[in-house]
Amino acid sequence: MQDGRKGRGIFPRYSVEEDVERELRAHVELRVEELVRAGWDPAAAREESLRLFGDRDRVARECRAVTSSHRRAVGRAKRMEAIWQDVRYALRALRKSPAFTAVAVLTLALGIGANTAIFSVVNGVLLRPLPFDRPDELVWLREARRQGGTMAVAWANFRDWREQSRSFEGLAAYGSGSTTVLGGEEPVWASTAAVSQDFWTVFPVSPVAGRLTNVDDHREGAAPVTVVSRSFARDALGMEDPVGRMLENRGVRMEIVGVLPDDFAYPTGTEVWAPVELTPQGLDRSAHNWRVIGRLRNGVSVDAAGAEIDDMTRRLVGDAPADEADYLAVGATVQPLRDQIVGDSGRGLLLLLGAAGFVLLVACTNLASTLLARGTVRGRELSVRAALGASRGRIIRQLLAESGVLAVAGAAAGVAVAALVVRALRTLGATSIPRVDEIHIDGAVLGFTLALAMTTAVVFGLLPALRSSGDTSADQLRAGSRGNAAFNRVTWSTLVASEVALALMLLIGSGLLIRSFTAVLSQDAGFDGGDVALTTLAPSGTKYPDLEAHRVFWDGLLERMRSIPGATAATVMSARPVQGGAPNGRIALDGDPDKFGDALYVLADRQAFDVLDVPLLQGRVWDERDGPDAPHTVVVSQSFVDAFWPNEDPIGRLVSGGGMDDYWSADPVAFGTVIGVVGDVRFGALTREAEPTVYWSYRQRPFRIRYGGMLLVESGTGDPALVASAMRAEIRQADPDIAVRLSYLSDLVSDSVSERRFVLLVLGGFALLGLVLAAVGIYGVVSYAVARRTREMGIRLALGAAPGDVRRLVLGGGLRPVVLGLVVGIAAASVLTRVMQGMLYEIRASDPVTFASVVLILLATGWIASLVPALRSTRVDPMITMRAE
Amino acid sequence: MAERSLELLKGTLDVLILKTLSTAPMHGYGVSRWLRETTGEDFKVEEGALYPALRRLEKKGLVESEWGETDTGREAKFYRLTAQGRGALETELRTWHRYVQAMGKVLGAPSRG
Repeated sequence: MQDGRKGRGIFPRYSVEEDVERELRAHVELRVEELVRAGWDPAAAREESLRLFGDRDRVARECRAVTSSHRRAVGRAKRMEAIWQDVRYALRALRKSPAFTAVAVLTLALGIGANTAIFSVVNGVLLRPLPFDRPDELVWLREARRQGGTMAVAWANFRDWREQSRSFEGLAAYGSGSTTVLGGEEPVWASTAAVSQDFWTVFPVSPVAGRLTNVDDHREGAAPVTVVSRSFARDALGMEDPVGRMLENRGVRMEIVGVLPDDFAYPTGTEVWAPVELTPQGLDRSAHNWRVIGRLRNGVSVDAAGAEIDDMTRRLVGDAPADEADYLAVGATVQPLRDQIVGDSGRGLLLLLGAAGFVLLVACTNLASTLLARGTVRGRELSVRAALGASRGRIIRQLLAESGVLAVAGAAAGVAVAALVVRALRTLGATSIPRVDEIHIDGAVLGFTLALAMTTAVVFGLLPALRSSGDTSADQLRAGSRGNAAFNRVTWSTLVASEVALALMLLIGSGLLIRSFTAVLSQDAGFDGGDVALTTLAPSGTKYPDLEAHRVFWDGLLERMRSIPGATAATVMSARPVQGGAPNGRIALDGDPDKFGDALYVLADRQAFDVLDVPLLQGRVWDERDGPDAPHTVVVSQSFVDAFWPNEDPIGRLVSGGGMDDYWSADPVAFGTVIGVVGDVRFGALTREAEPTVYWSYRQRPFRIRYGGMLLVESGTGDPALVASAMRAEIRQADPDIAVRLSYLSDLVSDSVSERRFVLLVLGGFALLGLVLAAVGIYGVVSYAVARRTREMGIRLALGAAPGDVRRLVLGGGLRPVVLGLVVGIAAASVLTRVMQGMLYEIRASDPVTFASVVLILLATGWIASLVPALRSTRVDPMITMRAE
Repeated sequence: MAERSLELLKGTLDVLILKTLSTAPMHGYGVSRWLRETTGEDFKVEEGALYPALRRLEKKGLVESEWGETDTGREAKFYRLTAQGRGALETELRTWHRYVQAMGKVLGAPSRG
């Protein structure tokens, strides 16, 4: 106290160690002094002093602990206080310019919102673990084709893998599809799966009621049982605990033994699971009908399992005769189950995430240039602060606090934007994104947003902060608001150029997608479905025990459809166009069992080609001559003729049904006679060339509609909705035990391109956002440059320069960085767009039309954005502007 | 029976320190000497125990410290009561008086027997 020295507070005089040592030593010394004064011998006094003090080490230790934690707490409080002070100051500064703040927050909200939304999709679809127990052990297995690629698995191969492989804890086969399920009040259209014995070993689910199917249920001749999902029990059966109830599923009556929780649905969407082993499966290694999944044994890698299965498959299949070889596996693959569930969507999503990143960069660039301009305007204020003793670091921190506050506000608003966008994306992506239900804004997403906001603050705030704080010299105080003009011009040109380059890449990316989407939509699928309503129907297997019963059912149903007012044609088909459902088989030609060709096998009725508006090119379609007992007749597609009988007359030639129906095994093989040729229809996909196709009459070979068929009705009014309700009523009258799910053929076509459309719409939105932001950025920078050069313009005008020349000067100054940005952007885009090649259709990634249009759009944008300030530059009275400085 | 020296009640040391510092700012040794002289050596405290207590009070904000020099020119750390410390002392004193009064009523009541 005496000397008044300040030892406490921010700068402790001693280290904790030293502080404690000195204090304790002082105590002992003072005690010694006192004892000596009282007449003690110094040595004895020291000894006594130490004794009285007690355990010195323990005391010192305790003191150090207390003071260390005290000092840490003080340090923390100081830092918090400093940050809080910066934030308060930043808030005050931002309140003073509400327009700037609003624009900045909005810009950031859009940029951060776009990223948050897309990241929540990527997180839900790609990053989050699959919603199964120990999901990393789950794999799916496919057979390898000789021609390349993979195919579904033959039962015999699955059986042998299961018995011989050592890599798996469990290996299960399943088939799945939708059908009519009876057992509730109404017939229900449900997704069902037939699963093999180890399915529940692969997915160890705990039922919410009852039990899973067990070994005894999974064998030939066992009493049929099934487990259902809780939502199926609730919605279709109207009960919480349906254990013991009976269902009819694909012609089999089965008892419900268990209910599964709603969070389990594999295969995706499945509501009813039943054992597959009740009937024996064919052992032909060329019948590829099964999906196979497995759970890896602990410690076995995907690759090791793959090698084992591949090797085993080669051994099992052995050397096949040449004509069989194309239909047998040449190996097998094992892949993580995630790959099957997520499919190809990862590519599109990552592209969108990259695009969102570009949008944010454009936003950052915009803000950086605005902040730079603001920093120059505020140069005076900052200079005053510097002159008053604020260090450069302090001022940088202050300016970064402003960007930080902006970024946090932008992030908060961005999360709100993202919440809206995510909702829209979930609707938009319902048919094209896997795991769409798992897309949420959760903790991981918010963490991502926060990190993004902080990075953003540094990215757009650091350059202006460094720049502005460096300008706070005394010169600046004197020079007023004019900073280092040359430096600013270079910086701004760079910022504008990078904005333009980024916007260009976004626009080119979406331009390419737009062009290829247009190309996809302009594909001629070979049919016109605009006026067609359809439903898949699966008549009960117990009510219609044989093929004849099915034929009679469809005969009657089609008659009813044709009687609907407004309906012009009706047909049944065994496959629907553009959705890839038609089976492909080996067809024997010309009555010669040794002459083969690959073709699609489709069942149809005589009006099928009227319904689809497929032209009859030659011969005739079926009529009353082609009844069930008449010799079988077929209609073939033009590409079939081109492939197998080029330049020959196809009428009267013979084809077999391949392995697709029960006439294949007849001896001699039952052939059908070609009576007509029709135009090509794309059955595989809109983007896949039509394959040779043979149409058989359902009346002669009803085999492939025994589990259900597609009913298509054409409306003469052009609006298929008008016949749809009548269809439902007629079907109900024909058989109340059939579930009906009506849709329109045009929806089928648009669903088949929904993933393309999704990526296109989102990327297009980003590109538009990028373009607007870039335009605002260019406008802002050019306006600012003009405002600062008003004096120069005034002088030029006063000296007799034509206003047009001055305008050109400004315009040129604005456009120069735009052109620079275009050049850089084109170079970058021509490299970057290569990753999109796989997503494009009939368009190369370097498509010149796209590049040229985008360049024109950006040039026009840059021109307009610079034109407004350019016009303004000559509209002022030179004398006034000169006096103003 | 010889008179026993009083064992220090738990937590009492803090109050004693605050009371001591309420007379004047002083260094640790000063506090210890004042306690010793005022209580007539009734309280037996290991002198060292004072220091962790002082530092804990400092951490709580009841006292503050700074380095200075003693009358003999020796460097020492001086402690002073803060406003907060003064308040805490008053609260403690009130509590103590109520406690003593209550105890006095009970223990001072005439014994029967």
